Parts: sequence; structure tokens; C-alpha cells
Amino acid sequence: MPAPTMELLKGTLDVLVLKTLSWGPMHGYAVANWIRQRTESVLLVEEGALYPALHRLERRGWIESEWGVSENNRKAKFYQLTTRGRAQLRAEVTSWARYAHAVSQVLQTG
Amino acid sequence: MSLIPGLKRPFRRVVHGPTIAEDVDAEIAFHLEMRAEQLAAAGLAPAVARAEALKQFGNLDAFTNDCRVISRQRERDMRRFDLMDALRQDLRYAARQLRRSPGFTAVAILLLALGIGATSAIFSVVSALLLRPLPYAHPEQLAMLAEYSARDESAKDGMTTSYANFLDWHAQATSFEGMAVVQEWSPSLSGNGEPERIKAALVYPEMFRVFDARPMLGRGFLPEEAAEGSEIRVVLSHGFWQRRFGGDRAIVGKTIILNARARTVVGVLPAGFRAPPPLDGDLWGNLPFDPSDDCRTCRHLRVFARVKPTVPPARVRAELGAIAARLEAAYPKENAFTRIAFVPLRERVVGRLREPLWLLLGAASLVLLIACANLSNLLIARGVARAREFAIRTALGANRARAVRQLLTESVLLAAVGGAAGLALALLTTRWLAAVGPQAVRAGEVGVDWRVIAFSAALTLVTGLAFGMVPALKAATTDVHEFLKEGARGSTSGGGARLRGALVVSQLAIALTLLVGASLLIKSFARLQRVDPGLRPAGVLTLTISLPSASYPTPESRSAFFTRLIERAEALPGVRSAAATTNIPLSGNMDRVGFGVEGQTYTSDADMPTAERYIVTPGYFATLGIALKSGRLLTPDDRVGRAHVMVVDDALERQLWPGESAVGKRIRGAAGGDSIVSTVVGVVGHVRHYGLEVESGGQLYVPFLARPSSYSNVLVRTAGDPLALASAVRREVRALDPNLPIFDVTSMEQFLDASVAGRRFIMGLLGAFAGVAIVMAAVGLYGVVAYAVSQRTREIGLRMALGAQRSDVTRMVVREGVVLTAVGVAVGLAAATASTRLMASLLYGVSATDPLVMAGVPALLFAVALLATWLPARRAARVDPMVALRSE
Repeated sequence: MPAPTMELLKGTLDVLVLKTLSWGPMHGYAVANWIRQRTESVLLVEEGALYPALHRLERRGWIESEWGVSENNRKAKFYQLTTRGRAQLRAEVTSWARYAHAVSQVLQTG
Repeated sequence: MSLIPGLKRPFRRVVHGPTIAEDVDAEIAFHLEMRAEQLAAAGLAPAVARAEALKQFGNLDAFTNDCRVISRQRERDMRRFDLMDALRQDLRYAARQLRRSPGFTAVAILLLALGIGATSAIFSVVSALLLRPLPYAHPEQLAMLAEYSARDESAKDGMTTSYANFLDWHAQATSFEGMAVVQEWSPSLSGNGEPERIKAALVYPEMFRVFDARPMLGRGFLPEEAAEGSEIRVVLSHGFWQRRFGGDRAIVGKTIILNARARTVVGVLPAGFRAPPPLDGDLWGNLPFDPSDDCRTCRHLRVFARVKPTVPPARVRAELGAIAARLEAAYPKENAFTRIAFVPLRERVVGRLREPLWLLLGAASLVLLIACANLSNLLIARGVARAREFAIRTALGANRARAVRQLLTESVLLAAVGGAAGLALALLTTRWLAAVGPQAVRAGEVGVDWRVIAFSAALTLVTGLAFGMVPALKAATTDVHEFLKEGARGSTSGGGARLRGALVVSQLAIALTLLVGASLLIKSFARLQRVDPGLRPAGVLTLTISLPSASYPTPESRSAFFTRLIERAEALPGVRSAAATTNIPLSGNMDRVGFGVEGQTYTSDADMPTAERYIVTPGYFATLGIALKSGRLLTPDDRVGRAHVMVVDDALERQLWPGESAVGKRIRGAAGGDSIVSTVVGVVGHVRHYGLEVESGGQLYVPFLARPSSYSNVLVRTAGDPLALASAVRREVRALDPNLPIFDVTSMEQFLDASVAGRRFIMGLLGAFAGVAIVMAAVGLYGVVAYAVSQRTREIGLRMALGAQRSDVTRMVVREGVVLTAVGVAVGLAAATASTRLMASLLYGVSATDPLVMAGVPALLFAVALLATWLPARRAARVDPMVALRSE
């Protein structure tokens, strides 16, 4: 499967992060693991790309961060969805569904 | 939003600000460690696991950097948001505070509107006349040239010259790109629709080059169209062409009927053409030179010139000086002591208003300053009343900077509302000033433009900070604990009272300074109004006629024309008398001639006496109401072929024959060639030729009928409104000769009025400012005393309970006001003495330290101040001791 273009990747990654965090507060490492497991590493070729995405989402006010203690007792930065982030996720999911439906319709009728 | 937003920001900056980089590093380090541990647990050697973790992470430096950049941006966003949010909060809070005390707010806005409005209105005049470039092409190169007499210091700017002298300047000067004489012209247009009188000018062909006008249709004038006998052709303004000829593109070459005569249209100027009066009319005609009228002393033409861009003014003046000297040598009689003034157009437009305008702007700023001091006082009083509020806010953690900012927001908001009201006021005032101001202001396209708006906005901001700063600092630095203690009200009154006192003193001092200045101007004006101009201007119509030499070749024909015209004018109903004269007092004409007294010898022409010459018909003295002092006036018999006679004024009599009568004395020259010796037959009163303010030197009157000029002004005295007579007089002129152009129709009263208009304008405005200032200062004083009384109600009650009389209480309060006033007057007198010297040039017949003004104004201020303190004093005396003592 060829790698999608960067812009698409970026937008997709943002939605995935929001989706991941909708399960509850997580640190970046956990988010990375979660995404890798679900997508078989297709959408996160370089794990580092996750961090600018997290900071970008925080700047937009969709997620917020707080230092806390990880499961193995280390200092870790936890992210959590804000109300606005949750709304954003809902909007993104709807539009993704519509988009995917449209694309698959086109591809199937081909 | 947190309860106290001011706190959140510095806290966050301490925790996060400097650590963004570390924060990102720690976050990424955690990730790498976790991944390495996981890989190690899966069986990789620790070093390999770390390398693999790094590899899976990707470009570590790039991602780290991205995170830092985004985090910093987020930090900035939040800071900006906090600031905007705090500002919004401050504004909302300030608006609520202002709404809560509508009385205070209304007074404050009124004060600010008056101060900012006055300052902005004057600034609009200053901006239009002194700052904005004149609306002509390369205006800095434009100038006016005019002659003045080296013997007359009062009229150094000169006004006009004669065509003959102009032609010599034009031939000799090399500093100019162009130079043109201009004469006002108001022909009547007939045919092709309603007849109308139009505003026009006759010009030397180079006029269009001077003002850089390129006709959009046809051409401008050709150099040969200034030559003798040239037909008058016309160039139309764009507006006139559109209005009257519907923008007919085939107009060039057609004729239009002006004064019943067909004139060919040779061109149309583009819409953007702008020139100063009298060139701002509907059309222009060429002004041909008339050699038979080589009248060097017919100084009635204005000259506009464009200097070459590389020639400095000093060189222009030097060249003109040399030309004037050559002309004086060549024509010693006509050009005796005649110099050429070079006046840049800006100076000519602004004239003598330059200094007064800055003075007025200063005065308006002083009014604004009083308003500020007044507001500061009001705010301090409010600040004391609100001290508890701020003490509580401080106790809850709001910092002082924050409190100061809150108070400043209030005053800037107040200033903004006041500034908007002031700008509206300035808009109205400016329109009014532009309508009633002196000529320069009316012609200066004075209005509220972006400069004025920017000025007002800046002024508003500065004002808001200026009057708000002291009270804000004061309120914010009051001791928290003092105010949280019950019953500690008024504990700051010591320092507060001193500060408020100082502010009142400065208001009184400024008001006094303005009052002194205004009083000096009013007294000057009153003095000037009492000056006898030597003539009675009311009811006199003036107009100008120039007879073409082709139709009026002989002195007899010219004499006959003017004699007949005067007879016909005198036959008109309501007309008392009419006359012709080559020179009108106060109009800007001049005709200064050198001459000899018989029996005296002169080593050089420069030793000869000079006098202002008027060539007049016998009715001139009656028409202008000039008094006969001794001997006789001119009669119809004093004409060509009779004995040469003249009349002189008493100033010339005193100058030439001190202690003797001039009647019977004989004068050589002045009436024509050197050989002509005239006998003085009468002495009349002196006339102020250059304006009411200056004596003009000697004057002499030569009989017109003995030396009939082709160029003459006609004066008609009527019982009623002279301008209402204008059309009837025009009809008489037309009946005699339908082709004659008539120029400059106006009245003697307008000349006199124009000579004092600038002064009246300045006096009126300064008077208004002084009036506003004294009211503001009185209100300020009242406010301070009334406030002091209200703060001391308990003390007053106690005193009365202990036996003080009402009169004692009144006296105690009034004394406080009197002391403040006395200090204010002392400071104000010192300031006035120092500053009225700036207006010495505006004073007439009054010294800058006129004792009556210097004593009267303080007395007036004291009277007003007493009234302002007596009102609160009376209230203090009515305090009921029982009520007052129980109230706390």
C-alpha cells in the first residue's frame, strides 16, 4: 500500500489523535501505541510526527495537557480532550464518514 | 475566566514560559525511554533498543523543533487573548461605572467636548492654512510679486503693480519660469440661455504656465495676445464649459457673448485646474497691453509668478531688488522708492494670520488643559469615594498596576466619548469658521479632514491619560488597611486637598492668562474702532473701469466719459454723489510719487519728499466724506488748460511746512512732468490708506479733469445699501459704452471690513476661549470648595455646636476659596506678563501690560471666584449641628 500524501496524513493523524483521546487522558507514548496497533503502523510511519500533532491540537484548544505520573511511576505529560475537542471530533467523524462513503461509492461503481 | 485575571498571567509565565524547550524535551525523552524499554523487553540489547526507538521516532530534531515552535505560538496566543480579555473586561467595567454616575459623566463629556472641540477646530484652520500644501501644482514655487514704497514700512508686502512695470520685470528677470499679471473681471454673459454675470479674470498669457495648466481642448493664450490691440479671447473652466455649454467638444473656435461683444473661445482647461482668487472663476481672457496707457503708476494689477525650482528665494529677491533699482533710475518720478516684494504664495494666502493662528491653537490647548485639570479634580474626588472599592479589590489580590489600568481605562473611555463629541463640535465650528472667518480662512478650504481626525484622536488619547494618571495613581496607592477600617473616610484629605488645590490654582492661572490676552485684544479692537479712518465708508459703492486707448485716445475723451458717467450716476435715485479716482484708500492700491517743493533744491531724487497720490474728480471728497481743513476743494474748473492746482492732506502740510499753512505753496512734479508746478489750494484731513492701524504719510490730490486717466475707480455714495446700486450703475456704464469691462465691484465698507476682519476673528475666538476658561475654572473652584465642605460637615457641625456663628463658618469656607484664588491670580499674572509679549504684534494702542487690564481681569476673576465659593459656603453655614454630628 503506497503511503498517502503528507497533507492527507496530517489531517488524518489529527482525527486519529482526537479519536484516541476520546477514550480518556493518555500520554503521547500511549497514543502512539494505540494508533500503531489500530492502523498496523500505516498512518504513523514516524512516531515523532505524533508530537507536533499533539501540540498543534493543543494550540487549537481541542486538547489540553497536564504533567502527571505514568503507570510505571514516571513523570509523563497527559493529554485530554476539551469540550471543543470533543465537538471537533464529532464533526470530523461525520465528515469522514460522508467522505469515505462518497469515495467508496465512486470506486465501487467504477 | 478567573476572578482576578491579572493574577493568572504572571503565574503561568513563571511556570511555563522559560521551560517550553525543557517541557518538549522531557515529553519526547519519556517516549523514547518507554519505546526502548519495550523493545528491550522484546529481547533487543539495550543499545540496539535505544537506536531502534530513535529510528522509529524519525527525525528527532525536526519534530522537537516543531513542537517548540507550536508551543511558543500557543503561549503568545494565550497572552494576547488574556490581554484582550482583560481590556474587554476593563472597558465593560468602566462603562458600567460611568453609567452609574450620569451627572459626573455628563459634566466630564461636556468639559472634554469643549476642550477637544475647540482645539480640533483651530487645528483644522492651522492644518488647512499652515500645514497642508496649497492645492496647486508645485505650490512651493508659486509667489506673488508686488510693489511697495521703501518709505512706507507698514505695507511692505505690497499688493499690486502697473502693466508697464510688470513688462519690465518680465523682460529682465531670469529667476522665473513664468510671471503673469491678473485683473479681476466680471463680464455679463448673454445669448445661449439666461444672461448671467460671471466671475472671470483677464490675464497675461503666461498665467497658464505659472499655474501649470494644460488645456484639455484648444490652447492657452499665445505670447502675442498680450500685445497692443489684441482681441480678447477666452479660455473656459471645465465646470463652466459643462454647465453652460453642456461639455460641447466643438466649443473651440465658437464665440460667446460677453458684455454684448462676441469673444472667441480658444480653449478649455481640465477639471483639476485650481488657482487662487481671482483666478478661480469661470473663464479667463487675455489682457492686452495698452501702450497709450503707459501708466506706470496705475498700480492695480496683481502678479503671480513661478520661480525656477533651483533658484533660492534670496537670489530671487536680489534680482528683483536690482530690477527695482534700475526702474527707479529710469523712471524716477513714477517709481520713486518703489521696491518689489517677493511673497511666496503660502505667505500671501495666510498673510498676517500665521502667528495668531498658532497663538489661538495655544489658547485652545490651554482651554483643554483647564478641562483636564478640572476632570482630574473630579476624578480624585471620585477616587476617594471609591477608595474602599479599590482597597477591597487589592485585598482580594488585584495588583496596583491592574487598578491603575482599570482607572486609566475609565478615563480614556471618558476621553473617547468626549473626543467624539468634541470632533462633532469641531465639525460644526469649523464649518462656521470657514464661513465667517477672514478672507484667508474662507478661501483656505478649511475643513475636517483625516489630519484633523488623527489629531483629535491623538489628542483624545493623550487627554485621557493626562487627566486620568494622577487620580489613578492616587487612588491605587491609598493604604489598603486604612480603608478597610471602619470610619476612616476622609483620611487622605490632607494630601488630596493639596493636590486638588494645586489643580484649581493652575486652572485659575490659565484662565487668567487667557482672559488677559482676550482683554488686550478686545481693548485693541475697541481702540481701533475709534480710529478715524479720515473718511466715511458707509454707503459707498466702488468699481473699476479701464478705457481702451483705441476708443478713448485723447484726454478730453476720457475726461468726457467719466464726467458723463458721474452725472448719470448722480442722477440715479438714492445717489448723493459720485466721483472718479485712480487710487482707493484701504483697497490695496498704491500710487506713491516723489516731487519737489518749489524753492527747495535736492541733491538727489532720494532726498525728495513722497506722497500717496490720488487723481480725483471734484466730487471725491464729498463722496468719501473727507473733511476740508483749510482753503478750498477741487472744482470742475480745475481741468486741462487751467492753472495747475492740487489739494494736500494735513499730514503732508505738517511734514513739509510745519507750523505754516500749505495753501498757496507750490509743488513741482507729482501732477505730471517735472516742469509742472502746482499750487496748493486746499488742505483736507488725512486718510488711513493702508488700514486703520497705520498713518500713511502725506497724501496729495491732483484734479482728474486736468490729468484724465484711462484707468479709474468710480465711487458712488448712496443713502442705502451700496451693492444694491451696482446693477443700476452698470447699466449707466453700458449705456455710455456697451463694450467696457467693469472690474472689482465692491463697497468701501467691505474694504474697511476686510482690513479688520482678521483682527476681529482672532479677538472673537480668543474671547470665546477665555469665556469658556473662566466658567470652567469657576466650576472647578466651586467643585473643590463644595467637596471640602461636604467632607467637613462633621467638623462644621462640631464648631457650630461649640458656638461658632453662621457667619464664622461662611468666612472660614470663603477664606479657603480666596486663598486658592489669590495664589491662582498671582501665578496667572506672572504667566500673563510673560506670555502677552508673544502677542505684542497683535495689539493696537494698548501695552502688553496694560494696567487697566492687569488690574481689571484679576478683579473679575476674584468676583467670579467669590461667587463660586460663596455658594458652597452658604450651604456649609446651613449645616444643622445635630444632624451633622449624628450622621457619622
